[in-house]
Amino acid sequence: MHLSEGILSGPVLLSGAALAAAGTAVGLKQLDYDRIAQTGMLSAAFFVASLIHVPVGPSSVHLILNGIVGLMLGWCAFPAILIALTLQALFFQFGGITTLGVNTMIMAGPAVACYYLFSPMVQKGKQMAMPAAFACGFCAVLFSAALMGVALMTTEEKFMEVSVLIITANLPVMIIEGIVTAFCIVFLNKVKPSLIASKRSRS
Amino acid sequence: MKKIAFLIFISLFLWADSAAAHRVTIFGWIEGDTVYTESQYPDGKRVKNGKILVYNAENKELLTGTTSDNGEFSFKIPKTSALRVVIQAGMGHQGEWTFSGEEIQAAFGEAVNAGATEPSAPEPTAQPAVTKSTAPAVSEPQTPAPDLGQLEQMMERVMDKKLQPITRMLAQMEQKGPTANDIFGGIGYILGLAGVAAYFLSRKNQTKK
Repeated sequence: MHLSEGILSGPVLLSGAALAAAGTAVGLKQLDYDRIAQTGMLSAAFFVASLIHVPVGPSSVHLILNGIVGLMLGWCAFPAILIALTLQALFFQFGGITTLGVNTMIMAGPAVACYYLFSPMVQKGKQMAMPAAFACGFCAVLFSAALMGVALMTTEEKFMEVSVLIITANLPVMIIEGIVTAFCIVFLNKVKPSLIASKRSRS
Repeated sequence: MKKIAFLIFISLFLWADSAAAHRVTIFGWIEGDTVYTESQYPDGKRVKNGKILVYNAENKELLTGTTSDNGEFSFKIPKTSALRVVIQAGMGHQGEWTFSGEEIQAAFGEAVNAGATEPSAPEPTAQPAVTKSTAPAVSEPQTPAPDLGQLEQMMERVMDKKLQPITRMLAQMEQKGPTANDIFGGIGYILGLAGVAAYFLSRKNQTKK
């Protein structure tokens, strides 16, 4: 999910950075005192998640966790993911500094989208919470894969082919993310429902 | 029923390739007049069928190729200038390795020397043996001179062979994934940043009050 340096063209990098900056600004505005600890913890979780390789079949996939970050943080997912990605680029050489904006957009954009799509469902129904959380984790990765295809559109000629390839390659990740998200949300709903970003706490 | 679901779940993963990695690395080294490269993902998996592009200092594409099942690709040095070897593993993954101009020049110079002297090489090897057996005392002072270049080449070859495992080991080390230090350092940074943010926000709250 991390785009390397030297692949994308200047305009793509710039527009990605601009969008990411706007998202981060919105996120920082919403970041109040009560949510700092949660944002930091989820940022740390996101930072570590991509190191967790789940060996499946002959290969291994890694977690992204942008679905659960979005579900629990809303717009604050942008600063959380931006910081985690910066540190990943510095420490692990995943992605790169120039692609930071685009990568943030690819992963945090879907996180926020999924927050709006699934947060009401997760908070409302007791029975709906688990499938909605699964769908949230699943779709966040799916949207990320699609966005990545869009970002690569300018460099790879066969846009459809590349997009389909990225999405199928990430299908196992989507399913695992869905399961992880579902378990986490069900657990949190039981233990501490207030942790899941709600509109109540913000208004 | 649960078992079947589980099996379906598992089988889903069987076709997945390691495309979900986050970066590719390439390590290159020179042996004689050939450049060897090895490409892999951070978890140690080799890049199969990765696209290799070789550029010169002026960013002109010199040659392309694909990596083997072991993630290896080698090519003869095409030109005596700095080289940039780029691996493209697809889906936005790219890594590169550069050779400086001097590095290539040194290797290329050797290779040219070796190529120039190689055809004549068998003769000197045969001669000392013959002269030694027939007239050892007389020919002894003459032998060191013609042997010098040859000796150097031989050393070169032997060294290359001996150093190969070490180069490979270096390649492996260079391409290692993140260490525990990196991971805990990163987590520390994030928690620290959260602390800083909390500090400033709490001050803002206090001044408001």
